[in-house]
Amino acid sequence: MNSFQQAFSLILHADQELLQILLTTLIMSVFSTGISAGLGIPVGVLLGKRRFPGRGVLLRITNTMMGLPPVLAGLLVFIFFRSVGPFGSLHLMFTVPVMVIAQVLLITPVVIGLSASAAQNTYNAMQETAFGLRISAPRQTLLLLRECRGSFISIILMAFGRSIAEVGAVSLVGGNIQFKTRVMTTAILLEANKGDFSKALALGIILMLLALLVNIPAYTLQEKWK
Amino acid sequence: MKKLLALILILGMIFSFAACAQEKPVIRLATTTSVNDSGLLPYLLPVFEEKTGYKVEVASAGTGIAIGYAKSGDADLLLVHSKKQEEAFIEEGFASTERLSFMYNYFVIVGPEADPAKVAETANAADAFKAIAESGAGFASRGDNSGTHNKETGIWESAGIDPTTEAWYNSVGSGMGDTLTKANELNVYTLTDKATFLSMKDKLPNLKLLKEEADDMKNTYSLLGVNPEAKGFEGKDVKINTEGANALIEWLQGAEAAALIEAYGKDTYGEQLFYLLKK
Repeated sequence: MNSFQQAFSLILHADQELLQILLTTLIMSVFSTGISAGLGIPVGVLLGKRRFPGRGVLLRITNTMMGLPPVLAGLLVFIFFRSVGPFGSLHLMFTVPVMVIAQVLLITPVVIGLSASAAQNTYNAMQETAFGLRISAPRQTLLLLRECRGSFISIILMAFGRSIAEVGAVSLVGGNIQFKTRVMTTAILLEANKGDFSKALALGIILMLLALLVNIPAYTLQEKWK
Repeated sequence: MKKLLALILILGMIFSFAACAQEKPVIRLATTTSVNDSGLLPYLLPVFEEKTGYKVEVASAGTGIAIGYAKSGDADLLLVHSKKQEEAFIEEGFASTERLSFMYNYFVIVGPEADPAKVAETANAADAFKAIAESGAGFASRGDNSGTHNKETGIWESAGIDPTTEAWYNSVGSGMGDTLTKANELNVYTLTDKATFLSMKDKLPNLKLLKEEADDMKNTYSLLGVNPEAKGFEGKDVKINTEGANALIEWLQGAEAAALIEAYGKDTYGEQLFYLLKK
């Protein structure tokens, strides 16, 4: 109960630091989700609809990558982007963009895998009808995208959820720097490490409220497009 | 329309962030959790920032990863407390300064209120560790290659004990705060810096401060600048803010910081937590 009170008093008194953490969390998650969806959905639809040699191999690689542990994604991005690494000259360590890169690496395979299976199921169901009605290939794709849009919303929501909840990768490449790269999850971890469980829980409650806020309009849209 | 507005808003925020970063180059300080979590840096740095106009970004992790950040070219200076690792860092040519030891505090041994190993009656840390091993009462180790963990390993060595395979030895692989929390839950002994323990005391009902201020429990903090010409950086585009790092090093060793460090903790905990090394 104490934590709930603390959560609400944190929201009401909205100090600058909390606002900054929330803003960084949102910017990071929106960009990670947007980029992952932009890359992943077209590739996923292609994999789901077309039949071409090597497709099975690609799907298996995607499915394996879906299980990529976040901390491993973080480690890879750290090794590539630290100043002595191959992309060190970009000087991106401990910034929001490098956190987005780690998350895109983490989330895109999941978006590809789920879009591929959604597209495949829908395409299987509509293929015969489309063939009978002699609908052209480009129009079939449009129809497929339209049929799948409800699924895409769930996939994007899942990507957003994964991005907002992730801690291992972002703390390694982001460094959890106050006023700069601290996000909700790393702030929760920090408070828990300090032993301040009630503040950690209060931050957790705020994070879940934020997730709820994003889910409500998305759910409405999804219901409409069913 | 709403989407466009949202996009403009987000882009505006990003640009405003970018605009903020245009002043003096930031100083990237990699340090251990103990100086940051104990509140010392959040107390000192704003004074330095106000005075010089520099902004200091603190990445706080165990000494192991803090030194890793510095070796990767992603820190301008280090504030750590692990002599062996610092000397290795210097030997590898990564340091632009010598080991500038400037303050110390004491490690303490905390443990169950009942003190089954009678640690409070021992003369120093090595004896206390022997007593813990003999009683088999249980010990929580950081296990994260941090300064505190290295200190602990050194004490086991001087006690002539290898505890790592013992059932009563818990290597938790985590920061100081988390290790204290786990020691409290397991009701076992652990080695901690005094500042972190005092700052968390009210959340650790099972733990009591049992042994402190023995001569083998001193904890010395040093500053190390990062050498932009280090061999490990050759041919890489590493940018080290040497000017800023030197300014911070000089300030931390100066009179203003000294007065602040000596006063720290007296209001909140009723005792001094960090002491200056006399030059």
